[in-house]
Amino acid sequence: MVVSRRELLWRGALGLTGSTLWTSGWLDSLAVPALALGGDPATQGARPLLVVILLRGGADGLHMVPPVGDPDYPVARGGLRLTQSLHFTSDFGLHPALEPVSELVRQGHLAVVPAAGIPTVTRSHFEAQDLMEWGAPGDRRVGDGWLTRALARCGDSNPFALLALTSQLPLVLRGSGAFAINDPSHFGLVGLSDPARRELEVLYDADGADAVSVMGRRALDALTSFEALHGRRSLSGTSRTQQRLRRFPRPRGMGTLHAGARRLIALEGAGIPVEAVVLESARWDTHAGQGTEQGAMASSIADLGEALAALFDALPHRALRVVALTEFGRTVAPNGAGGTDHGHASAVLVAAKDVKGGVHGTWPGLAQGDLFEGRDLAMTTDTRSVLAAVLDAHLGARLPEQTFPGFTPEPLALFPERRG
Amino acid sequence: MESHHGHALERLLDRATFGVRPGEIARWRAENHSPEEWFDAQVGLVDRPDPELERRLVDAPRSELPRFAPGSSRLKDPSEQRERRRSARRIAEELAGTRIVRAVHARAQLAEVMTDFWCNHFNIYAVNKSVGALLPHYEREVIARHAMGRFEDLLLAVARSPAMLFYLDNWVSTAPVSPGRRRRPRSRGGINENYARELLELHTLGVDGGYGQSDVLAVARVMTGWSLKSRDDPQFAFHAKLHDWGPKNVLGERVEGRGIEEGEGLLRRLARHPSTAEHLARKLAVRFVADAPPPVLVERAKTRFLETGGELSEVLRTVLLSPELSEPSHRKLKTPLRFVASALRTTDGETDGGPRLCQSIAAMGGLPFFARTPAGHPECAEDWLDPAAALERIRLAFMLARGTVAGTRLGPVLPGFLDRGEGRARLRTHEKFGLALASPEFQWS
Repeated sequence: MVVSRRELLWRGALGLTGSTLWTSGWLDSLAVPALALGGDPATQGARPLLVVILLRGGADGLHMVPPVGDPDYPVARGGLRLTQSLHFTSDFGLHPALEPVSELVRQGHLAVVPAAGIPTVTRSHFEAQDLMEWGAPGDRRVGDGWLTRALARCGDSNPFALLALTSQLPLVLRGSGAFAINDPSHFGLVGLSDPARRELEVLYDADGADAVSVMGRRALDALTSFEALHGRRSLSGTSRTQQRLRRFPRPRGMGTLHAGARRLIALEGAGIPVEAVVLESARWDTHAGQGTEQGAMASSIADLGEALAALFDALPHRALRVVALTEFGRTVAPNGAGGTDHGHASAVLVAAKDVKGGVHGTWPGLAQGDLFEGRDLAMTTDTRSVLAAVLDAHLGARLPEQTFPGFTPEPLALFPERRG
Repeated sequence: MESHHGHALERLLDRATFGVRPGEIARWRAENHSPEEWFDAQVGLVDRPDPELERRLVDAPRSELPRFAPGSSRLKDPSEQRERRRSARRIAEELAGTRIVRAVHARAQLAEVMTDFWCNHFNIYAVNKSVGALLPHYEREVIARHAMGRFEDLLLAVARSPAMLFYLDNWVSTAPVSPGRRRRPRSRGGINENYARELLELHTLGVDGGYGQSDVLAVARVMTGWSLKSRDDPQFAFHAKLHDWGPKNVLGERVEGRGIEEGEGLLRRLARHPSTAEHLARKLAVRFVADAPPPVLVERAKTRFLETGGELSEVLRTVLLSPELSEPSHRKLKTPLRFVASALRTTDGETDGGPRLCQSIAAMGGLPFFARTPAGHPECAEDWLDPAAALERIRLAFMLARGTVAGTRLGPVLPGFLDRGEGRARLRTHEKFGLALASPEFQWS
């Protein structure tokens, strides 16, 4: 029996040996509360959890992590310059809306690569998002996402190992067979009689090779395993999920990411064995009325900050690593509507207890001559190098070579060197 | 010959409508009508009165909502802002409800399918900037009116529509401020590229259509001054003072400063551009024929587009009456809207498009005008399908069959392929319906 690295990781993390994890109910083994694990809980023993946050629309790195020490910043940014910011490093501040992560920052758990991107000249959202999620610019044959290539293996039987808490499966998980769950109360077939359920399973068990049959079969298998543990309920209907949700009351006007983080916390609490999850938010395309300390971009940034804070607060027992990235940055100068248009490089944020906090990579500067095509922040770090570092840390090993075809990651000192 | 007609007709009705009503195929077949005749009959129904549909639309549930203009004077009070956002969302949800009623009950099915196609092609996200309040006008007066006409007219109507001007910010895009003047926060004056970029990438040429960043900027300059009367009066107005009167170079051609005519000329030029013809031909072939349509079909549709000056019913004729359409291996996954509408049509059911049904479609991510980007909802199976999406369809199938979706009722006709097997025969009637609609088979057309 060939055992994938992921499977080993998964079993090792649980302290399980033997080969009965899946067929005899992979969820049962997780009903056991946190296993005794040795070593520093920050990096060792604790089960790794990777959260990938896609900031769709073009998040403004200059807003999230303002380069307050750059003498060209005030003039280049004009009316969109932040006059207040939180302290981050000597050269960079953080947007005031990131206040919820100040504790993470204080502990050195937040790293920022301020001028990152996927090398391309496109300013199309859709093209740039595809590249961000394929991780293979210039190669259109690549049809699945980098997270799939890094983590998913055919035959892996924990259907929740990879999960998207989004309404549709993002490209970054294309080809993985992962679930995209927007509302956990919809995961379940409550109210179906046993004979009807049996007939349904017969319909979906008929070796249909079409995509609906394949996906439906996967869903029904997962549901059956889930019900073996929790009974005929929906994913949000289990008592453990409900307890968990009660502990995290929903604030008024909660943003997409914060709500997604809260769902993840609830699922994790219910014993759903998530290993990597994708969250996304879409309100970053501020062509008009971007605002400065407050306004449209600020509320999107606040949502990100609240999501990060909630995750680290609620999941101390997991080796949690979060990476937040966007398809491109925004123009340095404001446009005519107090907004910004599509730009080039932007900031990538990495939060983890074992990350080396602070700013990584080279700052290209904001002087006119330093700008990409005379208008945008230039790119000095390939986002894939950041992702490779995060994936290596998550896997505890080098990421699979095919993750970023034809690309050799630049070594970034984001995480401590690993033994072996 | 008859069997040829029969097969082609079946596929045509399946794809060019929101689902085939019981007996429909038999009726056309009995009179030995060809696919061409069905197509011509549908073209003939465009803009014709449809009293039954009208009655259902009048009866559709409607809330008494304050109809704010989306940009009406800046509101400082957050509760008023919330109220406005909520209102915009509700207006858009109710509009989606009427769209479902039309999909299920309209006689002019092809026109409804094309309205759906173009609303999605020129998508506006209803929640963004509270633009929902402008969408009823946008859907009916801008899109539906031109959905079977000439692409050029459609493109110009969209460019002038308050909803699109507002959504993609063109109404605030103005001639650049002179370099000497200092930029102030939220200063008036300056180019906004948002509309120009999506005009080229999504609406016309396509992302590989042969334009660059300098073209985006030039198009944005051409379109300056295409705006609204005011924030509180969202009607199209061209403001000569905000227009950039300097010469531009778009796609290698010099455009002299002539005001609104520049934009009109540009839109006409884009509408007739070979890249646009190819982009739209492909998109139509993807919608109706296959996720990866045969290149020869795309080529024929493109040629027809160019030789008719973008006459949409003619391009459609090429696609829908093509032999490629009936190729058995060319399957299309039903979109969520189509899945629901076809469940109602094939069983001979009915709906008032009420909020519960809208919520069900929204849960599958498929509500009209609720795709979150200007690119609209995806057209291909792999974009729609993951295990949870498959489960959601199964869930909704059984909900519809149990009759728990208020205002929506399946009809008495069981889609006929399930009366095999003893286990099934013993199921209760509503379970049989649920099973039929939940089957993998029913998700494809």
